[in-house]
Amino acid sequence: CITVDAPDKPIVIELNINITQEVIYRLATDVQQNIDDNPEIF
Amino acid sequence: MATQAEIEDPISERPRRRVGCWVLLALAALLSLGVLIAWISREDLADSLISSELAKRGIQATYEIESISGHREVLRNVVVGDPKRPDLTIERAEVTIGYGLWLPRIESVRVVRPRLFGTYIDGKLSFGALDPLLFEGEKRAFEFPDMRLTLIDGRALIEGDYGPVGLKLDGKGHLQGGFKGELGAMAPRLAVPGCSPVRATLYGTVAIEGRRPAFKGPLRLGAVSCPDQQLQLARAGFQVDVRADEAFQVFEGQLGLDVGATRFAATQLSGLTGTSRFTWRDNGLTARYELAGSGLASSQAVAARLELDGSLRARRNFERIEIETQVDGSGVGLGSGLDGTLADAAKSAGDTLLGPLVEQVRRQLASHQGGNRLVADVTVRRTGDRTSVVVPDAYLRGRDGATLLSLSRFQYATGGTEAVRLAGNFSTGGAGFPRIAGRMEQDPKGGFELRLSMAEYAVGSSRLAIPQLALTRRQNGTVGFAGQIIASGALPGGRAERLLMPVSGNWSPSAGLALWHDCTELRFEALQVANLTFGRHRLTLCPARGTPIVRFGSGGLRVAAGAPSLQLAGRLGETPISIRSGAIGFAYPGAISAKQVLVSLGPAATASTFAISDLSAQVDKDIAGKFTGADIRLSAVQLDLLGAEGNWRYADGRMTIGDARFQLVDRINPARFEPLSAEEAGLALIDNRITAETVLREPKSGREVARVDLVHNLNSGRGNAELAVVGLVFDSALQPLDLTRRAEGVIALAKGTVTGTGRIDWDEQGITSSGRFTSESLDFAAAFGPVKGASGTVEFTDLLGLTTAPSQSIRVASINPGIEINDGEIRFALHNGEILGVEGGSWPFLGGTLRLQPVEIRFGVPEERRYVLEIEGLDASRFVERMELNNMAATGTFDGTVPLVFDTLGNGRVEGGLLTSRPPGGNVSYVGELTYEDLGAVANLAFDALRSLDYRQMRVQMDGSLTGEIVTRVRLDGVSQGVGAKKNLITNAIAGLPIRVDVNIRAPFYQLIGVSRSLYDPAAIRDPREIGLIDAQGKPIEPRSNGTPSVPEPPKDPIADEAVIQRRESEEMP
Amino acid sequence: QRDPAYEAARQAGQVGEKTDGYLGVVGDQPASIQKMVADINIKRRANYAERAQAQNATLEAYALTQGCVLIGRTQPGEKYQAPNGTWQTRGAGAPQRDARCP
Repeated sequence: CITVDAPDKPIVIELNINITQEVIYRLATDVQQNIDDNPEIF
Repeated sequence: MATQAEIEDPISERPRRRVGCWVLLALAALLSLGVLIAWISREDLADSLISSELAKRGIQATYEIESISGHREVLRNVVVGDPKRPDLTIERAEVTIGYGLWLPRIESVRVVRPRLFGTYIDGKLSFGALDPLLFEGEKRAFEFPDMRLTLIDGRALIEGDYGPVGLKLDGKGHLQGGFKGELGAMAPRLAVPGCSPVRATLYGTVAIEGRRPAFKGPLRLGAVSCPDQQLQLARAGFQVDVRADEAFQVFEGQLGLDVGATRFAATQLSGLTGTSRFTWRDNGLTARYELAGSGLASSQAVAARLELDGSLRARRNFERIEIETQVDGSGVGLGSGLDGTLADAAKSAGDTLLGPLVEQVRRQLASHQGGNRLVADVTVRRTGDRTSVVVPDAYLRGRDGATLLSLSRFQYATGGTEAVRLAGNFSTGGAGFPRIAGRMEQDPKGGFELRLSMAEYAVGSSRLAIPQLALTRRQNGTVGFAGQIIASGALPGGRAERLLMPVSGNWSPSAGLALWHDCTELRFEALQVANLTFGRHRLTLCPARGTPIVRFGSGGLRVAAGAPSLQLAGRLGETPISIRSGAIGFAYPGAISAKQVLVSLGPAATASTFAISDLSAQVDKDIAGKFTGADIRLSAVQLDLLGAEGNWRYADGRMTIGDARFQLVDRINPARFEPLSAEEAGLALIDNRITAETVLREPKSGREVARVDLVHNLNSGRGNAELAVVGLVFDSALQPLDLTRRAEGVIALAKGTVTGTGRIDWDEQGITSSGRFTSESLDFAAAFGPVKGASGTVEFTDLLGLTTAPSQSIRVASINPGIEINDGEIRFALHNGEILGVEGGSWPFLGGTLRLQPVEIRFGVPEERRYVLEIEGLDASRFVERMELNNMAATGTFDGTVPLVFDTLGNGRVEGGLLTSRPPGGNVSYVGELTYEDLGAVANLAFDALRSLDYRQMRVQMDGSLTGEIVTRVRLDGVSQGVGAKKNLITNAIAGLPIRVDVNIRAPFYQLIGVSRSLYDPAAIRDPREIGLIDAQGKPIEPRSNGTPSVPEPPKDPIADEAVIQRRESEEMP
Repeated sequence: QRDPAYEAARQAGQVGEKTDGYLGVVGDQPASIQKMVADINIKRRANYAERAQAQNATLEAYALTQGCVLIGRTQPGEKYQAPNGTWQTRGAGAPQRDARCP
């Protein structure tokens, strides 16, 4: 059978998780609403 | 006869004189009786002769001739007049005739028991039938016939106007010399005009010497009471010794006088004795008299003994009278009336400086009572109806010889056409008595003027001096006065020292007293009103239009005065006070009003000032009124009370202010707090201590901020104020910004209630203040983000300076600097309201605690701030559970630090965050459905490994923006397959191999959390329309052509397509 | 209904809308203006925190989006920050905005 000799260095498993979302577009309407709700601070 | 009493009222003399002449008439009638007989016999003794004579005279007479001879005729039972009511009856008459040269001459007549009846009506004496005989006679002066008469038991009765008078005469002797007889006259009810009938008796000897008749003997009168002249005499005895000349024209003689208790109007005399020598000649009377009255009592004066000696000259039947008298009274004293008025004066002036002075005069007079001597010489002249009294000088001397009162060149004239004249000088003196010198004189217009001055008269602390005072009495009866007085002593409600006061005004019985008709300048060395004392000052008071300043009449005392301005400096108790005011008006009863009043209280350097624009008050028992527009600057406390108004009351030494309103303003610039409005404030000033209590409200919202109780000692400048914040509610209506500008840009959107107490103490060194403030739950937004549910108590060591005690701790329900952290506790200290020294904070954090290391934050200064968070004992499983990663499981406990950096805007970044697991490590496993497409050998291995992975050590590194994206690098060491992981060839092969798993998660920390939830929870996925991916019609919104936001383009990422993963449930890998 | 002082400051160009969604002080202005801007930004920050949490977005993202809209709504004469960071005065035309603005 095949033997895999353990490499002296640990096997590095690298995972890159990138979580982004198309944020800006999602918020466009809420932002408009926010101005109307709080006119005194905008 | 002129006695002291008579001088005052010459009118009463007439009845006495009439009585006197009455006696003379009676005497004349009797004597003429003898003459009658002689007349009859002398003419013609023959019976027929007599009867013819009588008949010739129409005299009806009957008689019996006992015997007639050449020398003697004896008639019996002579009856003259109507036999039924004879005018004259003679029992027996003997006439002896001598023959002179050529005419028979009657030598002597002897009459036995003659009875004569006469009447005296309307001043006419009539003896009935005898009148023609008696009164017809020649007009020659009456002369006694040259013959001897013997009268035995001669009686006469005269009735008439003055009541019946019975006379009895016995006597014998030659009518022109040597006749002696006894006369007795009795008038039981002698009628004296204006008086009740008097019982009068006269008894004495009658003698004729050298044709001059004389009478000597007592005249006694019984009780005399004359209501008209208010004269009563108990009894009066006169020792008469009078001689007349032949023709009864001249009377002279002596009169001894002894009158009993006399009462004339209000004057009483217990007795009057004296002698007088008088001559009456051709209707003129001159008399000298020495009279002594005893027991004189009148309302003005009393005297034990009053000796009057002097002379009286009357001419033309009393038409001109001149009386001169030397008066010498001893035991002279104060009359009860005078004493009464002095007593009243003392009582009414009781509480002023006049009280003790008048009382002293009364006491002195009382002590001198009865011991004084009055010496005066008085001349009274009366011509027609003009009477004048002149007193060249008169002295009243005390027992010790000092002159109490002296009068000189005194003249008084009244009556007749000329006006009343009065002039004279007087002066008073004597130990204990005021020394007054005065001059009275006539002024041409008919009034008279009295000028007087009084040297300073002092009793105890009351002193009064009258440099000069002029009283003028005008004809209409009003008395005008002008002068100056200098007074020291008690005034109603205060005291004055050397008060120099010009006095001008007038008094009239109808209008009463009116004082100061125009502006008057008062000067005083010191004036004390209640506990206000003023030093030397000059004050000008002006009357209101048309009314005098002081009026005291039927309407009672009314005072109304004003001053264009007022400037006084003095002391209130021991505190220096200076008062300046504009126009000030004062009326009693009535009101005080003053404009622009400026009062400064306390030593100049630290004086508190009260500037009041309008002050008014009602004045009666105590003074109460209103004030508006007052600005009060308390020096000790750097605070101002502006626009104060309210009402005030001053009563028995206490000044209280009620329901006052004012704005409390911080005098320091920039102000430590915004103006607060005080309502229903109450203030009291008692003996130099100001106590005040009020409710301070925020003006716009009217919400109560704090209750203040203040005590301030004006003198020492020491005081304290206690603040009670019962419930300060912050909400949309009231924000910290409204209370203090310093909160602007530091704290906003506060919501919640703060309670607490504060105390401020101040003295000459300075101000210290402290306070404790608590809130159950307070939300607010700060630069680093919103804070919710802050609670706890903060201890301030310097409240005004906003400095807290060290290590204050508050609990915070949640704080969101980007990530919401809950249930934290922060220990901090605030310094000067600017530097927040955070000593530490700890949060329970996922099974462990998150601890904030000490940091210093400077408020209001935009600066970068560094915090270091320590995590200790983070329980991975709690982490997973908190993050609601249902499909994940993890164990292991982590420690580490997360340094945070907040930029000037308050955005937080993690820089070099590191968490490491504690030995022996833990397990990470993914229990959710996991499908994977072509991930490459290694990736697939990883996934499988992820199913359950034991690790010996996990290290998590974090960097990035809290509000943005955080890069998290997870390194797992000592990895081995955990229980439940699918074993496969590779996994078994490498089971023993040292595997290190690095997971780099680049995701918004937030999204990390948000994403993971959506990984497995469809509900978490939002409606694309709602999140802007497709528009309302479902068309996808084309992203802008120029690229996506700055977030770097993510590499293709297996995990990212989670949606894809979810749908393929099956697991293709072997 | 803005606070009059804030409205005046905007019209006077003393303050302007920044790209990151917050208000900025244009040039050096008195402390009162700076304090007012700080106060408004605190309120915007609290607002963004709540809205971002509700929208499951990061505070930064929410703020950025808000900035885009606010700059879009500036009135002529008001100031706004261009993507390159410089202050511009809004003219009649559209303002310069970040590419990613919606």
